[in-house]
Amino acid sequence: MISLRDVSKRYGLLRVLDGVSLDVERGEVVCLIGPSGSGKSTLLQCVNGLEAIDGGSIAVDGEAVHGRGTNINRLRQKLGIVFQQYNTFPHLTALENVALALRVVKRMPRRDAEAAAARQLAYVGLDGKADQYPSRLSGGQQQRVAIARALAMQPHYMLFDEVTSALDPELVGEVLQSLRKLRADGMAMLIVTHEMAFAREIGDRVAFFQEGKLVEVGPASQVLDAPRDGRTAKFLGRAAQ
Amino acid sequence: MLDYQFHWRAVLADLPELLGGAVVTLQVTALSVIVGVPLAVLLAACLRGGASARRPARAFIEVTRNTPCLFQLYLFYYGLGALGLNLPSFTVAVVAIGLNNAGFLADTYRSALQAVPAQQTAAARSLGMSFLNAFWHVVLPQMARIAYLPTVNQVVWAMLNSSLGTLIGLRELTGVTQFLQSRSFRTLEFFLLTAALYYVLAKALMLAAALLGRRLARGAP
Amino acid sequence: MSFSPYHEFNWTDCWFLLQGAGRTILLMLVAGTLATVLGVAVGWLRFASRAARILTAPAIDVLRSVPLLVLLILVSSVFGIAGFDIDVFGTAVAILTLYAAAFAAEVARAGFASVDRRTRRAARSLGMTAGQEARHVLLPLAARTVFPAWVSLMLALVKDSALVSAIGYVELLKASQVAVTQTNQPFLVFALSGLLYFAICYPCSVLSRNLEARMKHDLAA
Ligand SMILES: Nc1ncnc2c1ncn2[C@@H]1O[C@H](COP(=O)(O)OP(=O)(O)O)[C@@H](O)[C@H]1O
Ligand SMILES: [Mg+2]
Repeated sequence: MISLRDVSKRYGLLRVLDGVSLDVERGEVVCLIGPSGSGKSTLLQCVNGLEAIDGGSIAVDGEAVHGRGTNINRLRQKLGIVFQQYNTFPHLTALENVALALRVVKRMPRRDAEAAAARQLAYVGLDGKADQYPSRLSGGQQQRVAIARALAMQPHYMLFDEVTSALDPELVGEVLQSLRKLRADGMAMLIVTHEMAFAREIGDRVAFFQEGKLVEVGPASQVLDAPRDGRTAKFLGRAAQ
Repeated sequence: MLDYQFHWRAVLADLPELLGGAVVTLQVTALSVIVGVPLAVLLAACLRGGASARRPARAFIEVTRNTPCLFQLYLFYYGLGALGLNLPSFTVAVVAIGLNNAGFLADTYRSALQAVPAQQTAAARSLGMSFLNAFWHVVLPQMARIAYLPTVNQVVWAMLNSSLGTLIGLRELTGVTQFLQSRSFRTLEFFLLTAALYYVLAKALMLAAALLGRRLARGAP
Repeated sequence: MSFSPYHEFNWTDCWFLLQGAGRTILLMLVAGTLATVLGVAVGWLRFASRAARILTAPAIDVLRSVPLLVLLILVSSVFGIAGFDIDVFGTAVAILTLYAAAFAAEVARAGFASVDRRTRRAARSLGMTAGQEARHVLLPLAARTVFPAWVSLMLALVKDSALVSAIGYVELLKASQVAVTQTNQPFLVFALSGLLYFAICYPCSVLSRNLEARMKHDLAA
């Protein structure tokens, strides 16, 4: 379980996260929606320990992410994260992108790492592209390389940060397809998204986020179709236009 | 001038000795690069760090860039000699030219480091890589792609600069030439041949660099 | 009391070093001016004519691929053979000019190439002659673009001028060597001459860097 308790974070005077509490169970899919600049990306980076927090706590399977004694590099293997801007490694082929961390973090022999990487690329539908460099791949393909790269570490949880918003519209579908497949395989996910229809379809629960606060959390259909908080309704109204 | 009689026979007979000098030139060049490049990476990292790391790095760079390389050689050779530390001229040449390389490459490496987006490190760290692993496997190769050409130019420059070793008694290509011509006084022939050898060395280095560099270019858009 | 061939470092030595620094600056001014004029002329030829570009390429390539020290010895020996009645200063200026001009020509060519063809055509459309256009449009625009590179070139020239100590011209580095042989205080002497070199070079460095940064900034804006 990923468990956030009263998490707060500041950038200078700006309160980016303000008392956020949220649980993501094993096998559960939670979608995070909210206006841009509200702190969603920051939240994911905090869960992954890429950003420090100023108050509260984040625990993954009972282990504190920001705890002193925590081996963050080991803990991160449980948490895959995929960024909006793919961040594929430009100097490595698709296969090498996926195999790199297996070799240096899990210390797998090159051959095993590459075999595992090939399986992950096949999982996201990129069997034919293993030897291509990112510069030769479309945005959707690069994003799927990034997903395969995170999945290769066999994480228990996946964090997705607006993974389709940098993509041309016709490439969005192929990436969402990979997420659907993951859900069917029972992966626990925390997904930041702007696609309301997709959130309704894939999310067990939806959380609405604004100005660093969790305004409303509940079953997907409830939050999206019958929001209890006026701010959620207003946001959904604007998003629908 | 027009009635100058070129005498090449004696000069060509000494070619093996000249080539021996060229080997020393290449040794000094190679070692000065081995000293200079890692130091330049370190300086670049210091330049991106806090004031206590940045200031001494900056001072070192400014001194190496704003005094003549020959001056630096003399400083190490005679200056350290006065302190009782009499280093052989080979060592002095390697160290002085190596430090010079570092001073000239540090700023280039700093901007190369800056050109690799921070998200690349974040992506590597998110997979559980340590800071050093992320630097070595993800940042450094991308940095190398940008810094390669300036580094190659610096290597050629170091090779040409190694000729200054002659003036502290090093028997590299120029030093050997100087010695050989003093036996026959065919100065012009000897130094024409040596100039040609330097030219060939410079072009050979560039060619080797171009071949090696193809690997670095992989994945480039 | 034992006899010592050395004397304590004194004001006379200091004055001697300052005179050396003066000669270093003189070399830079004379060779720098000549090299700039020659470089702009050759650079313009290389810019304007394909034939000139092909014809001058080997000379420029050789000058940049052979150590200055070797060129220096070659040129003095040619002067000697040809019986030129020329003093060390003249020889020093000749070789430094030739060497710096090879680099200046490339800087100038790049400058001319950087001027937008449409701007030049616009000037002609206003009725300017080719000469007027060159004088009022091409030259000033090119000069502005390459000014930082030109300042760096002059900086390199100051440092390169240290090499003419090898043919006996008493500029700053040679003056330091002489002072060392008389006082046997290499550290003090080299510290002083290093400071003098730094005082000459550092302002050029800063100027070139700041101008370059400002240009990048202007371009980005
Ligand atoms: N490294 C940073 N330094 C300062 N401010 C930041 C930094 N990263 C994000 N912010 C600010 O924090 C706020 C939340 O950003 P972010 O988490 O990216 O929002 P979202 O992902 O919801 O669009 C924004 O106002 C942003 O400008
Ligand atoms: Mg965001």
